[in-house]
Amino acid sequence: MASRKKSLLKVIILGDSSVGKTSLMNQYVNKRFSNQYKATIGADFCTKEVVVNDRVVTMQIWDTAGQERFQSLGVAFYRGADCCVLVYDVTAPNSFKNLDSWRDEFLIQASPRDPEHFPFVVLGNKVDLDNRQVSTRRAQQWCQSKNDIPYYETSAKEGINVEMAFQIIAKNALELEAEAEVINDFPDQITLGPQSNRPSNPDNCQC
Amino acid sequence: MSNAGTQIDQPPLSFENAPESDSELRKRLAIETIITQSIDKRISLDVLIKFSLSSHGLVNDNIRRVLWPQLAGVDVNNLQPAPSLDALQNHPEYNQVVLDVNRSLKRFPPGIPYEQRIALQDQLTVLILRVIKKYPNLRYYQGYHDVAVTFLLVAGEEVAYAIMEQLSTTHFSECMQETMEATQRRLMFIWPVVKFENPELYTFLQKSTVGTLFALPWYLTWFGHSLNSYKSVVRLYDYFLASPIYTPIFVTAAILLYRSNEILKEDCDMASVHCLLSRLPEDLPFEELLKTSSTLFNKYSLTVIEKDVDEMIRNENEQRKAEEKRILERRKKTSRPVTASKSLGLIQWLPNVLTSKSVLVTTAVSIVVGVCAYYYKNQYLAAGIS
Repeated sequence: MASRKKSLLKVIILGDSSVGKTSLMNQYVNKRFSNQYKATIGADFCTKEVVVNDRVVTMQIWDTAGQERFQSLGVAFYRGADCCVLVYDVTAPNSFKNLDSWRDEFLIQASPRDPEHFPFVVLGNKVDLDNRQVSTRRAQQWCQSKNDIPYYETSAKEGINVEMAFQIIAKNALELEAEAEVINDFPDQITLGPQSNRPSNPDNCQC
Repeated sequence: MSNAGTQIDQPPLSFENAPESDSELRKRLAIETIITQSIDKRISLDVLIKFSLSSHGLVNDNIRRVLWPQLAGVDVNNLQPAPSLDALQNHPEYNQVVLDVNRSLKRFPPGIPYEQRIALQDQLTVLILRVIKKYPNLRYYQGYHDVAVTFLLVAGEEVAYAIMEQLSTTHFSECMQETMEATQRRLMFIWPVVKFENPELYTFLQKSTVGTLFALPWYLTWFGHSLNSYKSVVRLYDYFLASPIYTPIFVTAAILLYRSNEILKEDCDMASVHCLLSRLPEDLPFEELLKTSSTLFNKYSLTVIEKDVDEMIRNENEQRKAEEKRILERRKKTSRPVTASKSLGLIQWLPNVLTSKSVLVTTAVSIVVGVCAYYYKNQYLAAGIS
């Protein structure tokens, strides 16, 4: 097998406006929740070091704008993604319906090697609210129909299931990488050489 | 375990009222004198533009309230009353606008009474929807609300609407197109300016493949979304209102050039450079940067910049095509066992079709059909049916 050990996992978070993409990322990375988030314009990212299968890896989590018109800007950072997290709001049925188009759009733009087996994870967020409108069963059925996408229900506000979901995300991303180790479509973006030492420096606040 | 936060952890917008400096005081008095001496508080556009561009801009919000409408070409004596929020709730963009307005808390002064803030947020929603309702060809984008809230807080709902209407059909019309493609292309105008001014920085940034995503919120909101200091936001708005369209491109270039040493020290990869660039330092010397921006604007013609950008886009497209081809070939190569067996199957199948046996059978069938046809033809002819 190739000697290249990828220690950087690129994760993209997609979903409608206001489903909680930024909040999930911030809850996972900084263990904080704020009611005062701004709408994300374009895209931004956070990094976090995680231990998966006894390996330390850096997760680079890309948070994106939810408004459809920003989608075309995504190509540059969708590429080379190791996992895509699809988020919907359990109190907003439309955000659930749109998961299909988010998934399709991602596959078109990222054009992963093996679209059928590309790791997605679906998060039903805002389970802390009591006006839930999308049932767990309905969400699970959809996930099953899409090649058994793992599904978790989260609350970025209360920190429910966030840590666990991202652990699974890291694990699945890493599995993809193990399978793809011999093939490297985007060597420039994921090879970590000496000129790219940031993610391996834990004390360096990247963002 | 370590982590790194993003803009979401930025401190709240600072509305701190710094004591007026001597030069600010002098400028304020000069502007106030001219306003007092004028008829109807109107001052000549030339003078107004000069004030807005030069150091400290229009100095404070009391002056801005009077002069921003003039700068934007809005007639304050001919304003239309705002419709109610109810009248706009059926607009297809209503939900998106409300979602964004609800998340604009940071743009309001801290300590603002709850009821007042809610009322202002409703006004903000109304003023945005009014514009896009009146101009159905203009599409709302996330960030538009950041521009609108700036005018709302300074000038009030009716004037803010008139200013937004004006800007939406000029400065922001490109951003309000159906897609962001034109804006994406416009942002590339940064590159020729950086290239001409600092080739080393340009090469570094291109090599990092950072793109222009970092500057998108700046351009779409005139920096209103990205700056933490309220004072800087309104100062920049003075400057942009008094400047030609596309000026934010030159301010962006000025920021990159100003930060060049810091940038060149960064790891040359997309993520690191994007992170560095997208966080605007708190202490950017905006007065100096705006001067640089004006100098750059006067120095480089948009035609020259555009030509350069078109060439860049051509090159990028070619590179992308080459890259796609390379990936395709690589995939073909790596998945050879599968493809090989499949194509081998096809090769195996083809000769089967063309064996002497199959050719013989086909020929025999053709002859039989031909003979039959001849026989029946003769029969019909004989019967006189034909």
